[in-house]
Amino acid sequence: MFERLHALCQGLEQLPFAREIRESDWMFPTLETVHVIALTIVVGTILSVDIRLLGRGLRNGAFTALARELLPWTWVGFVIASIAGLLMFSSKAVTYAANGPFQVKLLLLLLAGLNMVVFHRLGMRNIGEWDTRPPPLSARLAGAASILLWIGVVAAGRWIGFTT
Amino acid sequence: MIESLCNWLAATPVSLAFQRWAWFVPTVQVVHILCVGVVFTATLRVGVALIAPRGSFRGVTELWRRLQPAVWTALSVLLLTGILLTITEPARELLNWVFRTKMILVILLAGLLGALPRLTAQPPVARASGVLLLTVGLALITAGRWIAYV
Repeated sequence: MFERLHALCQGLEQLPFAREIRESDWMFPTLETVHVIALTIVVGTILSVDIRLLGRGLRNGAFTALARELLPWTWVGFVIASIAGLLMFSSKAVTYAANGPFQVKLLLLLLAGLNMVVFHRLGMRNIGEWDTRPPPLSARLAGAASILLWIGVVAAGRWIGFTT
Repeated sequence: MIESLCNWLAATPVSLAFQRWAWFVPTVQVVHILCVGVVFTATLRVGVALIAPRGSFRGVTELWRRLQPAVWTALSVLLLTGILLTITEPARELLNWVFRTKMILVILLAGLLGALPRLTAQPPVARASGVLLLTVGLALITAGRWIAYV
């Protein structure tokens, strides 16, 4: 399986656009800038929702209103960050795929996604009971886990730059 | 003169200690990026609300009133982490024109945010302020990332 993944990464690196990103002086930093802008939107909006989940800022209105306002921004940011990230990955796919912090970042992203799915399936069931009140323990735990996971995603992302 | 300041700063025991710790710069940068996330998300929310207000501009003032404690706290942490990064690598920051541009943009953003309650008084001024706020916010992050490449 690892050999197939390695071959896939090698093939990706050889694609014309990947080669162009690798050889250009400005393309990689530009993609990185787009990635960081999109990531700050993702993290900033998610942290705002998570802090509300922890029970802070209750006088600022209903949880659902805040989530409705911010989560579209989160998704737009996430899609842009993913596209820019994938293009950066393609420029040195073999190196990144073997990089520990990169692997940790992908794992943390997966766990953050799972945490969100579980919260939406279970935690949001009785939202009517706590929409404008302090959230129950399960929602607080989901919020705390999300904060830690996203801090981890940013940290792992930053470490990629220092280890490749 | 700035060059000799950089050389002196880089040779201080504090800077040498920060340079020795391999984890120091990335850790401080992580805190810096998280705070950029807080400030930029607030800038985005306020900027969009100024350009396309839902109802009156009073809603924008109210939104800013709620966001400002977090924004000023994050800006303070950004200042502190920025100083730590500059102490660690003074020449990388102080001799770089992109870094200087970034500092001007930081002052501009802080000034715009500070003047926000007054900027919402007239709709055309408010809309122009929203566009300026978003432009400055985007330029700031762009400058921050390009310091490493110039």
